[in-house]
Amino acid sequence: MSELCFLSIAEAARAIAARDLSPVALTEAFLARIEALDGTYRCFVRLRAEDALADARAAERDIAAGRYRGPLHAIPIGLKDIVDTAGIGTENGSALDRGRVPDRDAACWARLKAAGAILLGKLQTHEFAIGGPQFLEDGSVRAANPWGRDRYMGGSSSGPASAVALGLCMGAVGTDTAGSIRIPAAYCGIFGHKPSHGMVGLAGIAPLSATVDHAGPMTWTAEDGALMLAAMAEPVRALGPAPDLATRPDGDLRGLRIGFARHWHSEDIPATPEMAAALEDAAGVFARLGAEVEEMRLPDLGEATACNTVIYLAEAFAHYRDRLASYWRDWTPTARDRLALGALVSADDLARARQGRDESMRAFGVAMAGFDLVLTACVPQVAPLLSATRGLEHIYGVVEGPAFDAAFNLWGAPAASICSGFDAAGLPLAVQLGALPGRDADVLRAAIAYERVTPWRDRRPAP
Amino acid sequence: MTRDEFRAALAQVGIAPEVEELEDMYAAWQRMESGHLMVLRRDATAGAG
Repeated sequence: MSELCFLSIAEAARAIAARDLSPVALTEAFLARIEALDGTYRCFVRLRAEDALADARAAERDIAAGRYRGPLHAIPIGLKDIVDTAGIGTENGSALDRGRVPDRDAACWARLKAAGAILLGKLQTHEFAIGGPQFLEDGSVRAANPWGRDRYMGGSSSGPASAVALGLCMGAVGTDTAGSIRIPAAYCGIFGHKPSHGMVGLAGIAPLSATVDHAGPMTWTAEDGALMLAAMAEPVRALGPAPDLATRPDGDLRGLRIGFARHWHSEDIPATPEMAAALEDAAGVFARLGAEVEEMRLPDLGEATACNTVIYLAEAFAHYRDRLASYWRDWTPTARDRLALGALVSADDLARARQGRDESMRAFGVAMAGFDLVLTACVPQVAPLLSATRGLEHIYGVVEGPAFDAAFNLWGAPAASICSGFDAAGLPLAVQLGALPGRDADVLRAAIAYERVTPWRDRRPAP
Repeated sequence: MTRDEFRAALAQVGIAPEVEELEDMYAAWQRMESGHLMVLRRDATAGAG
């Protein structure tokens, strides 16, 4: 039965629509796999096995009666546990919210539920999406990396990335303030898409920063990410008409112009030779698919990361200041220490960061003139050893230097992490594909085409 | 920002970490000042010129 867990959403949806696949059998397969593996990998914080099965039975009845809702109908998914679910515990990865049960669904979950998705359960997150990894007494962490349990799984959407890679759910919702969808996606070898700002509603999601927070799909394939995003997206007028993301592209990328920002990983943050080679290979694949690939330069990475970090730390502190002051001892040290730094951001520094954001966004627009997409590194190396993420250096990493991901948060621009191979030890490599705000469909179209002509989606972690 | 100024700024918002915690947080703040904040302040200075 576990082979059902390795179907893509697109494959399962076709079979469900044709009534060749029972929603109940599909959900049962995932629950069995969770039962077998989640004790080791700890992706889920809350499982709703009986309720999910009841939902699957209802979906089966509806579909049999001709009430098929579309490609998300009866698809088993998970939600990062900072996404509110009415009547279902949502604890934000924090002891402060132990026992919290929201009375309303987050906007993105309401849309997925209306599309017929079945919620298997809630998935691990770093505390309030900022404090992690959280080590257990035995030195392990929750939501282990399925490619190597001694490896960091990335964060803060750690549970979604690990669960999707392991085949414990077909897709998941993650959130991303400075790379929290794309980094765990890269480390766990899945597809993660941070949409344009505003494309997916943030109501009902624990905030860090209204300016640079995003929610988006985390899936095994880019096509599945497109299907989920189509169901999650708000009909936001500023973004123009919702792109027909579910359209199956033919894989021909002729006419698409892709800038290759090689300087990010060759000058700004040196990538490992294997990661750099994966980027060159990806550029070659896009060219063979018909895209025009040309080297270009993006705005200063250090400035963009600095602006993003200062803005989100200041906004996050404003949101959590009362709970920090009142419950200091109840926070995990990583979360509270990072959040408290926001208290020290002066009005002058915040103004500089906001001005810098405006300038960086303008510069991004100029850099993208003549290009539809930009290819960059997503992470400089494969998933690091967990031991390297323990202690102060990990906290410092947030406040000190540039990273490949935060610039797209600052710009409100779509960016996806795409698995682009494996290193000699079998750990996933990744590239990042971005575009101007509102051009999510181009990112997804190119990512889908790339995955179809590369073998990387055929390889799953062996737990 | 000196260590005392740092402690006072935290106290002003109701945060009073233990001494050892304060040392770690102050070290993190110094890294932020010499990292992201220096980048912002440098750029502002360059813009003013």
